[in-house]
Amino acid sequence: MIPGAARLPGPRPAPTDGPVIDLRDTAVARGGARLFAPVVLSVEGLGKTFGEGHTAVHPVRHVSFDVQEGEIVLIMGPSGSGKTTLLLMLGAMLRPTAGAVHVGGVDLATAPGRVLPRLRSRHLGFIFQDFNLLASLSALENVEYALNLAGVRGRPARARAEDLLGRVGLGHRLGARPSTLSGGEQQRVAIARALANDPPLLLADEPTANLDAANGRSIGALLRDLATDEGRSCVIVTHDERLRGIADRVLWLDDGILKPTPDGGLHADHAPRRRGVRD
Amino acid sequence: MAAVAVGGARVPFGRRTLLADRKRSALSAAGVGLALMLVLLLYGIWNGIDDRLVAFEDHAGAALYVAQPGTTSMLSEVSVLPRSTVATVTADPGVRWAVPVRGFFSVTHVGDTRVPTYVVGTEPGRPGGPWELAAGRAPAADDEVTVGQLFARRAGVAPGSRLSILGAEFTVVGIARDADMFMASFAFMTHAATDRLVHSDATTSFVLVGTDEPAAVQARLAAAGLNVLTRDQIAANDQALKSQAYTAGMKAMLVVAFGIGALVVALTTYTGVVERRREYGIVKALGATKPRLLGIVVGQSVVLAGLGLIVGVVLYGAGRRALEAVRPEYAVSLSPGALLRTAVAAILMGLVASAVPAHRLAAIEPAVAFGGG
Repeated sequence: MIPGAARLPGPRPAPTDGPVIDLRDTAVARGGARLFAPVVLSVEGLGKTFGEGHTAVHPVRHVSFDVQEGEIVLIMGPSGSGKTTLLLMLGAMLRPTAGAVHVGGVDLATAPGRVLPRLRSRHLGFIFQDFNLLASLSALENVEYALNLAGVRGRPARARAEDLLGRVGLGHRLGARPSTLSGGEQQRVAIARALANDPPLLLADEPTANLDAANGRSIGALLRDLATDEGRSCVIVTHDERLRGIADRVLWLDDGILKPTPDGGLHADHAPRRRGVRD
Repeated sequence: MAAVAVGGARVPFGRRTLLADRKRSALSAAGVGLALMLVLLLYGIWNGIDDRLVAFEDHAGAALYVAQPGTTSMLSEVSVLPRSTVATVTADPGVRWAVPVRGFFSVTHVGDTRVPTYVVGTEPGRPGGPWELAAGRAPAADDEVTVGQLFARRAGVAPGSRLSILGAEFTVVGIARDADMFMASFAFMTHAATDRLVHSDATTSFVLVGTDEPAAVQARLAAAGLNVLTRDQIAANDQALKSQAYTAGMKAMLVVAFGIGALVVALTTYTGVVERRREYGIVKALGATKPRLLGIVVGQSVVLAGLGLIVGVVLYGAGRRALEAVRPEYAVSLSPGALLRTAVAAILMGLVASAVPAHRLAAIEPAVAFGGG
């Protein structure tokens, strides 16, 4: 049985490159019934220091927040504010120097290095700014390879990859190389790849930065659907104000510390937002 | 959330990545192929030398060789026996035939050309003479000689030509096939002619023995005080002559060729890892384990070495023809065992070559998949 196959949403019409959904409407559409939703990601007092003494740099300090099942959390902030450093720590690619990150029952700050690849392949799905598809592989193989890395091979992997690409509207481009796909199509392949092993948590780094407005909206809608329909959680680091519309919460990171958003919007220090309570 | 491990094919990411740059892969395979061609040619020359060194033993048909006490080979040691040894050997009931053969190294003069020669003196019509003729006949008179084909080519002689050995004049009456070693050619003449050359008609070098029961005959002759060697023993000792003289140089050349091939593979794979650093970072970010990453690099190196082996075998064929045309004294013959050893060497080459790129790959952080921010 392919992990989590039953949780996949049913076939839906192929998304187009044009506008699909009003992002702000999507945000409103979600209910507030996540009061008792399980926590998928828990961050406590997280900090990272590079260097020592006078040359020490602290890109992330004292960051705490939880992400619940089906919740989309936006991490925004100015360039150099520590967003990517934070995302790297959440993705088990950078060891924190303080605090804890709990994912899948593992504290990424203290877990042995050998368990991290398995955790990345099975509990986390990554969506990158530059799509980061493997150029020598077709769209199908890019998704299939992610399954291979988690131990699923052969026909089951291929069937699962075909299914996922079909559901992001790329069933007709299975054999296409990344260089022949549009930006929007590449990001859809990347999303299908991120979903390959049915991870409960998606981590996205500027997923719409290299897309035009229509494709950006389309990708945002797709992420929202994944959260709403499949209960998948998503942490998105972005500068894209349009994505606020799909978010359950927005965290504002400035100088490595979570602060209230400049417009007074939602952020992690607002107690009611913790544990998924919606205002 | 545990994934189900299922058997079956995997996406060949390593191979695809390696072959994505076809020009570089082709050049690398050619480089490895050249190195492996050198290995194959060295093996071929080595085998060819072995084959030719024991050509006499292969064709003379003797099961046993009686030699001077202490002498264990034909080509690297002197043997002088009383001619009466032939009668002693013939008297053994298990001996079908016994013939005297004199053998020694000399230099043959053909005009201004000098040809290193191994002179073989035999009784006309009996074992030990030229085994296959390309032209003419075996010597019958004491002023006649049959020489190897390479000798004839080098010296420009044919049946009817005149040449000089140890100051005596001979007429070439035949050209023998497969009668050239890498360092000297055979020159067959009558035993009586060699008696005249060495001024001794009461001696011979070896007594060749034909028998159906070599072990028993060897034991009886040894009990009678004779030094008796089997065909295999004397052949092995003749081949040892080559090993003593050339093994060190041969091994050095093999090591150099192996090293060149490994370096080409390592450089290609390493360059690929460095150039595709971000792609490997992505693979790490997606959850590739260290063994999986090591497998990618090892796989790439072995594929490259395998392609190089194919190129090397093709180049070997061309190189062999070219070498035999330019230097016919080198008979190049490749045994299946040598080919297998080269294939194993190619795989080893790939494994050794993967060490450096694997180390480089291990150092790539998955974080390179992300931009800054």
